[in-house]
Amino acid sequence: MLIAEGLRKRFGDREAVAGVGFEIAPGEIYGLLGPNGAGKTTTISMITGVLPRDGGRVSVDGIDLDTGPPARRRIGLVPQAITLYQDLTARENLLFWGRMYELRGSALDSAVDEALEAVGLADRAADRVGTFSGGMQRRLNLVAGLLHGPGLLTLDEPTAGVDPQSRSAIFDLLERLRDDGMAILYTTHYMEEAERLCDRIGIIDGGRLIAEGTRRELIAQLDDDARIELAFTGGHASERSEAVAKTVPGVRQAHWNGEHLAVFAEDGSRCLPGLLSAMLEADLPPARIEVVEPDLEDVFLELTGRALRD
Amino acid sequence: MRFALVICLKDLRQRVRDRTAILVAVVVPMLLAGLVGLSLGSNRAGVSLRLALVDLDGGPDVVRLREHLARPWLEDVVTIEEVGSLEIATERLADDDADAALVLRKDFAQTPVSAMAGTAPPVEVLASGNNPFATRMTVALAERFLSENATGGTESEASPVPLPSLLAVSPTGRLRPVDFYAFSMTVLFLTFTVLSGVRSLQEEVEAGTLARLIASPASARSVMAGKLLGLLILGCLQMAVMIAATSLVFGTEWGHPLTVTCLVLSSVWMAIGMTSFFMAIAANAEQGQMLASISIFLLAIVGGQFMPAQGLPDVFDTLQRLTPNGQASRGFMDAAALARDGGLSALLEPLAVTLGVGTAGILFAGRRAGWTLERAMQ
Repeated sequence: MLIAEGLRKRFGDREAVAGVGFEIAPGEIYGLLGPNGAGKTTTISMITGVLPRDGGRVSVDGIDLDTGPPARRRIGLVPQAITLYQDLTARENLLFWGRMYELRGSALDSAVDEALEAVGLADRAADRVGTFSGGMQRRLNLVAGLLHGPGLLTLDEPTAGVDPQSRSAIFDLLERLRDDGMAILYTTHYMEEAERLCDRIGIIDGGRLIAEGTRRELIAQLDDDARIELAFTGGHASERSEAVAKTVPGVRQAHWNGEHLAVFAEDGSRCLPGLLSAMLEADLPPARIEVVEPDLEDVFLELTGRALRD
Repeated sequence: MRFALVICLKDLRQRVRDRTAILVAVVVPMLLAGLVGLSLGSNRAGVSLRLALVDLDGGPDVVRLREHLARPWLEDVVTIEEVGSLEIATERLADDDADAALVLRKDFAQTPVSAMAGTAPPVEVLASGNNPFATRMTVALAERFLSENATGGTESEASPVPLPSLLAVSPTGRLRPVDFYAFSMTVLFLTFTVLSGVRSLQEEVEAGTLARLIASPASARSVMAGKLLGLLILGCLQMAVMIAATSLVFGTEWGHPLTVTCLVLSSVWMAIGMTSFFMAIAANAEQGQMLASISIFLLAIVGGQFMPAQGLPDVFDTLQRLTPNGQASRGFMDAAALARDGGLSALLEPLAVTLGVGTAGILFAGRRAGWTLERAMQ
């Protein structure tokens, strides 16, 4: 459904996106995972035609994006911000966005009714959006991009600032759309979202796609590393524990995330005694030690040396 | 075009719901014009016509003109005072001792009417902005006299030369204060009304709705055309409401509909260009609003929108001509004074300045729009 090749974008001297490319098949949710400033929004903006590209090619359903309306009709965009008019009602907002995607008459009316029903806002259709809660606005923001039945739905961090209930409702809706055959591009910096929702994940950092695959494939890149988490009492541990851990033989990576120390070792059980004694010698007795399954956060840390939330 | 209309209608719906905008567009300028104008006094003349007659020709025609104006049906309406020079006539108008002046130029009698076309008009009406009705009446009387003069006294026959080439109408005299403030406050608050619309465009950039619009099948040009159309309609609506309201409440006469229509369109265009320029050079909507508001007030002071330029040193007149808003106000004042046949030729300067400034501002803002959007996406 989507083919993006060699996308490039430069803002002045800064190269925001440097040759990003990926494909999304119908009925697939592709997650673009990366920290803030990694180039996710710029990539999605080029794919949807909001920003002109400095290089690369985008085609949707076999149609080049540069053909204009024929390609754009096939794309639904759900931006990171709430792109709704606060002084218009929910229905007026949806009618407006539907008209902008060439829906007219009864087709438009029924699409709006269905959309309001789908996100549980039918009874608030005549209320101004400015009176809605953040979660309700997010849900409406989402369906505004779906009214015209696009083949590709692009969502730029659609759950930012959303309560758990609305987040769950959004995920359920996206899974239903995926099951109906829609291709979905989903950007996020929440590892948990990418793990739960996405069939394939591309990890983006510094404007480059540094890894791509299913969750299982990405974690397999860690070469059977184990992650050991150490928590400390008192506020004195901090970065010092990170420096101590890195001196222990067998430790490949160590990262203090503000709450606990994450240590990656080639063989967790062999490394653990050395790690514990090093901490005790440094007067950093751990309050808790846990050996955990690696996740996408660990993949990102392994690939970049930084945590996703850095 | 369809996308542009959809965007335009959405924008207008939003503006109409904004009660503050309605307050700024109509209520505040009406209140200001009324309070300031009425506190300075109104010296409106009635339906009678006090005519200053200037005979620079010295021939027999002035007698025939006097006879023409002394017909029974004009007896109780027209009062004629013959004055010796143009300067005296202008003074009479300025002092509100006359409602209009009729001037027979030198050599009027020697020039056959059929040979007058293409030369400087031999008859001139000095119009007082104080009483556009009197101007129209004087023009009508002069036209009738010229027509009879050309056809040897037969009223039914048509004049062999077009009347506009025989008769010039020049603005002079003083506006009633309430009319002056009706014109100037309408133009001033037009810029504020348009500014609220232009600000909403900047807010769409910041909120991300403009990006979503650009991602739709509508071209960037359609999006901009829709926005521009909305601003034009908004500005014209405000002007129409103000013209109707000041006519009804204060009895302000705005002039010939064609002239007023041209001036309304060019003033709205000017307001869009001016406010777009200020918004385009600002970092965000908040800063743009502040910058534009301060600039509009400064331009209003320089452009003589708070105080009539008459009676002030000449430099104020020059300053008024240098500001687009001053030119717009001036255009409306001249249009009210001329009040005849559209009088577009006399309004070329205000029309040219307002259209030029509007176009330059819109082009500048248009070129910056892409850059602003890209900056917002970074």
